[in-house]
Amino acid sequence: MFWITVIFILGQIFFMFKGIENIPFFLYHMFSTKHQPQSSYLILAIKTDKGFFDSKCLSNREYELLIGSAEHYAKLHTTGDPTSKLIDSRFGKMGSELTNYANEQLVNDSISIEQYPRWWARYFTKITGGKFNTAGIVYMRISYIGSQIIAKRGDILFMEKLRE
Amino acid sequence: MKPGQQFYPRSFMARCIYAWLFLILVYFFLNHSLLYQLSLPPLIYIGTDNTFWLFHLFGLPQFLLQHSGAALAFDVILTTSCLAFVFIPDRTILAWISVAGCWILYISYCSAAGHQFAQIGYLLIPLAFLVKDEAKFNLMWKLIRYWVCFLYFCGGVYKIYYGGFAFDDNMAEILRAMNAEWLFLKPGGWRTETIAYLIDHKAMAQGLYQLATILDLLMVIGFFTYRFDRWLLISLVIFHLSNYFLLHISFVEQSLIFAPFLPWQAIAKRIVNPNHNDRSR
Repeated sequence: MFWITVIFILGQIFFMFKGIENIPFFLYHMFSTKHQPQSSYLILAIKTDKGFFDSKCLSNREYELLIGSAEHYAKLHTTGDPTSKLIDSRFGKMGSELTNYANEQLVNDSISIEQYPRWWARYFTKITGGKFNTAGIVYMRISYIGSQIIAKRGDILFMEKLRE
Repeated sequence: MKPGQQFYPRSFMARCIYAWLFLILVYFFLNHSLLYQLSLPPLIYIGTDNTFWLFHLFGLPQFLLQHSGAALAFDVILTTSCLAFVFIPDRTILAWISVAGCWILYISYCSAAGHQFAQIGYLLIPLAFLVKDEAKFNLMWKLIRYWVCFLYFCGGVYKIYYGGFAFDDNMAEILRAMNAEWLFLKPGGWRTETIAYLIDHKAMAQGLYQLATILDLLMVIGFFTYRFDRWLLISLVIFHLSNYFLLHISFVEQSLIFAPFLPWQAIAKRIVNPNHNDRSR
């Protein structure tokens, strides 16, 4: 027990020094940096055939799965999965076999990325009880004047039919 | 163990903590976020965390996220082991299964949700019950309490070190960033008005940020004494309620971190055996 504790403390100090979070060595530095003033923010909103869906009425778990994963998809959709580059930098020197295996296991391929909107629609239907005919994600540009906002609709990330 | 040093009521605490954990799992179930309920998400997220990489290299989260039968079996094993431990707190194998299950669930859920979340209370606190021996449990519980104090204290230090504490516009900007969607979707109501008021009054918003930093830093007291645990508990609750109210950060999963600051001996004495002269810490 003593040595486990000592190793754990040393590990925590090491990762704090490196500034990298590796669970279970958690780093609680959320919101600690300076947040420079921004005139506007780009957000993702859920749009249905009945208007904008109030995603803030969802629980944190459902919200994270719908909006968090959509943000992840948006990045993958625009720039592809950056994991390949990370794999090269981490395993590049260890041989092509490991690199190939890691790519196979860790990188989202184009088929998975294509399947995402369909999955999103299925999950959304499940949690909303099938109330909508279509739903999807759109970008919204939120600009501030003081605490007042001006919302401007941007591109559609994807829109799916929920029932035939 | 020094003569006269007293133990925590392990069995009673195991029942309470794992019942609490079970309720968190019920919350996951009611909110469609146990693994079986995720409906086979096609994308994974691994970020830069080496532990996430390791788990995904072994293919465990992908397997659970892509096989509904395996996901269902996993959910059933996790919830039943957790519930069984409430009734048989001496069977540490059940605690081991629950803890391993919670960590796998956390990594798999984060992978499906595309982000590594900081709600980790349900991962840390149940660890103390992996041991059965009273002396070892006592030590584990204290270490976990120190761990919680350390995490929050570090949160306060980071806020000063990275400059958020002294940056006048910081909290107003955080509020604007975190509430862009909220203000768009919920233009009216007292909560919206409070948030808008704080965005307009930057000094007051930053005062709240600095107060939160001080609450974080106060957790250092927990390293030196148990006398103020009640106050540390109150400050943690206020901290999380404020986060929830202003930044919409739920703390259901995190709520278990309150547990190390509860007066367990006194609670056990009152509930389990009011006539028993329980030993105090």
